[in-house]
Order: sequence, then C-alpha cells, then structure tokens
Amino acid sequence: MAKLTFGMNQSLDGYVDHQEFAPGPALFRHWIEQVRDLTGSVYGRRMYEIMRYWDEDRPEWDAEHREFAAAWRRQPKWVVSRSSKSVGPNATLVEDDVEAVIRDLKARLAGEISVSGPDLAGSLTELGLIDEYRLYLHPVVLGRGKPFFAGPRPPLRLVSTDRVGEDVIRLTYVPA
Amino acid sequence: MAKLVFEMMVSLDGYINDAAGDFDWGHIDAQVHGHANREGRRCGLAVYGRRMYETMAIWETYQGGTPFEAEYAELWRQTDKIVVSKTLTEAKTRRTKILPSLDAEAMGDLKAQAGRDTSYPARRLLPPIWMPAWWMRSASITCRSRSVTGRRCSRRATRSGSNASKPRPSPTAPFSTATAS
Repeated sequence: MAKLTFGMNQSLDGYVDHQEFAPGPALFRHWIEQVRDLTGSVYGRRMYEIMRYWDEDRPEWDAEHREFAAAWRRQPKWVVSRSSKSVGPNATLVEDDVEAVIRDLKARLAGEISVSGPDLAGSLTELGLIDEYRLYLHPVVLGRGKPFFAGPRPPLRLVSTDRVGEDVIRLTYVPA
Repeated sequence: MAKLVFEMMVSLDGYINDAAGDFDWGHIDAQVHGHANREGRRCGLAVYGRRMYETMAIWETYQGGTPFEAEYAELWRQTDKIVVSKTLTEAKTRRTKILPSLDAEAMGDLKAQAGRDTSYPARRLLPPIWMPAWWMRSASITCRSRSVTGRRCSRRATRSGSNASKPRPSPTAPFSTATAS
C-alpha cells in the first residue's frame, strides 16, 4: 500500500507560483533526496510539461542538477490529461477514471507516490486519496497567485515541523 | 529601542478569519493561550486600529472564564494602549490614548521611547472570549491545521527575507515548481 503525498514550495500566504522561489543549496539537496526515494509521481498536465525540462540534459547544469535529473527520470510517472496525445520517457498517460487508476496504484505499489500540481491535488483531496500534505513555506508574501489548496479545504492534523536550510519551514499534515 | 511586531493566528492558507468574519475556526487550548499570555507579557505598548480596539476593550471588565483568560485580562489592563482613530473621541478603557493619526515619524518616536516590544494588532482579532490579542513578533506565524476563506493576513504583495532581491535562476525554475514529494 503506497502513501500518496502532496508537497510544494509556497509563499507564507499559501501561493505556489514557482517563479518566486529559488531553492537554496540545502533545499535543492532535500528535493533530490525526496525525488530519489519516490516510488513514482502523478502529474497534472501543466506541471508535467514544466517538469519535462528535466528529461533533456542542459549544458548549464552542475552536478546537483544532473543528480536531480537522473532521479527524476528514473521514477515512473503518471500524467493525468485529457488533451495530451503522448507523454515522455518513463511516463504513462491517464486519460480517464483517475480515481480508479490512483486507487489501483496505491493498492498495488509500496512506498511513496507524490502528486504534483494544486489542481490535480485538489481533485484527489476531494476523493480522499491524499495521505499527507507537506507545505514548504518560504519567507515571501505574494498577495495573489495559485493557492496550494485549490478548491477543497481538508481538515488536517499537524504531524511535524522541520526547518530546511536557512529560511524554509516544512509543515507536515495528515487528514484529520 | 522597541521592536514593532505584528503577530496573529492565521490559517494554512493565510487568512485570519473566515468568510463570515468569524474567528472560531481555531481551537485555543491551554497551551496556545499560555503562549499568547507570554507574548502579551513582552508587550510594552499596544497600537490598535479602532475596530480591533473595540473588539478587545471587553478585557477591561471581563474577568476571564479560565485562569489563562484571567491572566490575560490582567495583562491587557496593565498594558499601555494607543488607538489610532479619527472617529473615536474618548477612550473607554484605562491606560489608553486616542490619536487621530500615526505617521512613520511618530511611530518611530514611540519605538524609541518604549522599553519593550510594541505590538500592532491592526486587524480585527478573535472575539476576546476566544482569543487574546497577539503581540506579534516579526515573521512569526501561528499556523493552524485549517484552511479557511476570509480576510488575508497580508493583502499587499510584499516580499521579505533573502529571496527579495534574488531573481530566480532560470535553470532551477522547473525544479522549484515541481518540488512535489
């Protein structure tokens, strides 16, 4: 039985707009290890398209970028989309019956599967399928943007708090 | 030189009250209340907006239903207060001064004079029965395990911390977006 988790960088006021957060070295290292330990990842289309960046080597990358890319490519991915025709390496397109697919993945696999993208996470929250929420709070106030909790507002229970690097706090919650 | 701090309970999505303006989404247990009292004790001067002041003024006469509340009530009465309001003419509580406005220079003078932290609970807070004023320390946020819809803790797009002057290096952008785990 795999655990389904949803974690993202966000501002203090809860917005996930990625262009506002540059991860420091400690956070980068943290994410490399997180991704390396994953059984797999479920993506919404938009987030998957952004992450395809890591499918192809870039000359400007340093060792850490290459390490992250290697970990990312290695993990199996499921991409939830009605409009995509095809997906990249090591990825499976999920066109319909998302609930059944996710339930099957959770039942069949072990370890941890991550959900990426607030909209997809919102749908899966509604279905009661997310087992853990991780909020990585950065010292930034945006005032507007894409919220981490898009739609449903789940009742939660705090499990732990950790500081990652100099200025990021991770809050971990499970459904109450 | 005192430090001006702003501290409140906020939901995980950054709201201080719900869509109806209520504050009962947060559970205040003895520990949280104790924390609030400790923070209150550090406060030398409280600067209020009118609405917050009127909400909080009940502490002038309310004795508290628990030892924590009683302790808080005593703290509140002993704290010097400034209310910034153009409509209020007289204070209903002791140790309270009404000012029609408070500019940066005047605030600076207050900070220079005050021995302890100055708090600025500018937004409406919990009904006092539920919740004492929160004397804020900068950058401290009390996250509760709820998300609500209501009034934002900060409505202006501001940035703070080390990220403020750091443009995002483009190679890491997709990485930082997708940091799902």
